[in-house]
Amino acid sequence: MAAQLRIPIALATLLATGLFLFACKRGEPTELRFSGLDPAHVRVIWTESPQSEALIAWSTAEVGSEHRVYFDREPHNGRLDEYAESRPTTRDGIFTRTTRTDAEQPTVHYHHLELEGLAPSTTYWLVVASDRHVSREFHFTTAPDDDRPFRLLSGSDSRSRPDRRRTMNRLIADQVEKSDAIVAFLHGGDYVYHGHEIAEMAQWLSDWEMTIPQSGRLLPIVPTRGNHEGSSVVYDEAFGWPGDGQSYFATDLGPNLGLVTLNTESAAEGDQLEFLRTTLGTMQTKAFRIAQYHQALYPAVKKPHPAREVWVPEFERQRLDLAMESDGHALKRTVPILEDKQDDKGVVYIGEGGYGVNQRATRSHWYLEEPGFAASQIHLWQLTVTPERLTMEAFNEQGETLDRGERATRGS
Amino acid sequence: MSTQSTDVGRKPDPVDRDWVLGTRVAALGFALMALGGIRRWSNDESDIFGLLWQELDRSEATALTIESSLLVLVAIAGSFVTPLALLGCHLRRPALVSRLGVAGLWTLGIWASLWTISSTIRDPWHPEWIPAARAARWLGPLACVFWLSASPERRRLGQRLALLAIAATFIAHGVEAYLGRPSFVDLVHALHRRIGTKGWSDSDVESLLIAIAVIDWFAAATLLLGSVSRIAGPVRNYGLGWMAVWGFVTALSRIVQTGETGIPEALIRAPHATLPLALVFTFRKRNGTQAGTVRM
Repeated sequence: MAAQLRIPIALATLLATGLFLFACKRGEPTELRFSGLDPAHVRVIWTESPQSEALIAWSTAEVGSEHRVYFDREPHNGRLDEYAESRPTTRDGIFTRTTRTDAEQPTVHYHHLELEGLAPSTTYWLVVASDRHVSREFHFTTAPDDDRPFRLLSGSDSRSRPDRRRTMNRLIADQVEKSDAIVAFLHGGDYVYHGHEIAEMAQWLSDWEMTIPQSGRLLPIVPTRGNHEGSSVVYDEAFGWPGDGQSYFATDLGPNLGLVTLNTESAAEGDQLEFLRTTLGTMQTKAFRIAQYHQALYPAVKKPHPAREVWVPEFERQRLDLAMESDGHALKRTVPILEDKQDDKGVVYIGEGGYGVNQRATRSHWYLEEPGFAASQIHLWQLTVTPERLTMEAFNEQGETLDRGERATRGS
Repeated sequence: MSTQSTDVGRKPDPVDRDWVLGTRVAALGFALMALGGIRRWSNDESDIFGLLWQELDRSEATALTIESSLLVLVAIAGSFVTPLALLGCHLRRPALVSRLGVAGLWTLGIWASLWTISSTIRDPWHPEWIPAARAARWLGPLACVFWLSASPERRRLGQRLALLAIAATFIAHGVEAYLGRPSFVDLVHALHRRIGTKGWSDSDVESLLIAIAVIDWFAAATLLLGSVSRIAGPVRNYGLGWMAVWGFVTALSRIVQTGETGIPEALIRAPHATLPLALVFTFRKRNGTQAGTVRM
C-alpha cells in the first residue's frame, strides 16, 4: 500500500514545499521610514459629505497617550496655541497582523479623527500631534457645494511597481501645487500586492506622502476596495472603514457631480444593489453621475465581473455618465454603451489600472473600437467637471496626454 | 499506470462493471472540467498566468505562452479522458482507451494541482481553504487513475482517495459558506432575481449559508465517520447521493447567475457532482458482494 501512495505523497509534498518556499520568500523584514511618535502618513480621506466632513489620519511607530489635530482657516506655522480648534482623535489602534508573515510585519499605530462641521470650499490648515511630537503644517480644501468647476485625479492598481507609482506621486504633487482646482484623488483599488500585509500598506502610505507638495497641501483620497485588498482589515484601518466598513458609499461633490463608490469584493446584489438603486435615484438632479469600482464590467483585458448583470442595467436606467474601472492593467475608454450597443445616451467606461503596474495587452472588443480607445500605458486620469461638460483626460508619467473624452450634461 | 491482463477472455464480472460505470461517470466529470477550463481561459487569464507574470516576474509573453501550452495539454488530456467516459473500458483487458485515459487523468490532475497552488498563492480571500475546496478537481483525477487498475487493492486505494477528496471539498466549501463568501451570497441573490421573487438582505442570505455549511459538514461526516459503524454503507451512500445532487445544483447556479458566461464556471465544477455519483456506483452491492469496502 505504501508503494502505491508514493506518487500522491510526492505530489502533496511538492505542493506543500512550493507554498512554504513561497511564504519564506515573502517574509523579509521591513523597515519603516518613521520612528517613535513622529507623525507619518498624514492624509485626508473623503467619503460621504466632503463639504462638511473629512477624516484626518496618520501613523506612528509607538502607541503614545494623546493624539490631537490642531486646525484653523488660516496658517499658524505649527504654533499650537494659535489654532482656533483642536480635537482629540476619535479612533486609535494598531494595524492588525493577519498574515502568515506576522513576525516580519512592523508595528504601526493608526490615528483617526473624523472632522465634522467644516465649511464647503474652505481651506483648513492643520498640524497633527502625538504627545509632544508635532507634524509640519499641512492644509486641505473641502469640496464645493456650488457649481464652480473643479478637477479630480483618478488612478488605480498602484501595487506592484512602487518605482512607477512614486514617479506618478511626484507628478501628482506637481499638479496639485499648480492647480487649486484639483480637489481629490479617486483611488480605484489594489493599492499594494498583499492587501493584508501592514508592511506593504505602510510603504504605500509613505509613498503617498510624495504627493504632498512643498506648500503642504494634502490631496484627499476617495478610496475603493480592490481584489488585492479583498476582505483586509488593514484597508479599513488605513482609510477609516469607508462606508461604515461596507466599502460602498456615495460622495456628494456639489450640484455638478455625484460619485458612487462600489465594492466588487463583496456581494454585488442584495444590499449593495439596493444602495446603488437608491443612491443613483437621489443623484438625478446632479449635472453628472459617475461611479468607481475595482473589477471591470466592460473590460479591456479580463472577463467581465458578474456584477455586470445587475449593475449595468441600473447604471443605464439612472443615466450614469461615467464608470471608472480598474484591475485590467491597461488604458481604455469605451464608446457610450446602452443595452450592450453603442449609443450616445449610454455609459462611458474608462480605466483600467495604470498607477503602478506593468501593463497588459488589450483584447479586441467592439466597445473599444474608435471612437473608443485602448492602449497598454501607465497612466492616471484627470476629470474636469463644469456644469455643462465632464472631460476625462488620461496622461502618462511625463504628464503628456494619452487620450481625451468628453460628456455633455443630460440635465436632470 | 500499468494494468495487468491476467484473465483475458473472461466475461467482466458485475463488480468490475460497477467500477467501470463509476469510472465512466467520474471521467465524464473530468472531461467536462477540462472543457470548462479551456473555455474559461481562452477568454480570461488564469491564476497560473498571474503567478508567472506577477509573482514570478516572467514577461507577459512568456506567461501567456506557458498558459497557452498548458491549455493545449489540457485539451489533449480531455480528449484522452472523453473516450473513457463514452466507451468505458475493460479492467482486466486494458486497451488503448484505458491507457490514454490514465495519461489524460494524470495530466488533468497535475494541471488542476498547478492551478490550485497558483490560486492559493494569489487569492486574498481565505486562501488557506483553497487546496481542500478544490480537492475533487486535483485529487479526484489522480484517485480515478487507481480505479482503472485490475487490482482490487489499488482500486480501493483510489476509492479512499476519492472519498477524501470529495469530503475535503465539501468541508472547505462549508467553511467558505459559513464565512459568508461574497460570491456565494451573490449566487443566492441571483437565484431570487432569476425566479422573480423579492430578494433577501445580505444578512438573510448569510444565515442561509450557515445552514448550507452545516449540511455540507454533515454530508462530509457521513463519508469520514460512517464507515466506523455497521450502518456505514447506507449512510455513506445517502451522503454521496446528496453530494452529487448538491454538487450539480451549485455548478448549475453559475449559469443561473450569469447565463451563458457562467457555463465554463459550471463545467469546471462538474466533478463536484460526478465524483460522488461515481463513488455510489463503486460502492454498489452485487449478490451480497460489495464492490468496495473501505475503512477510513
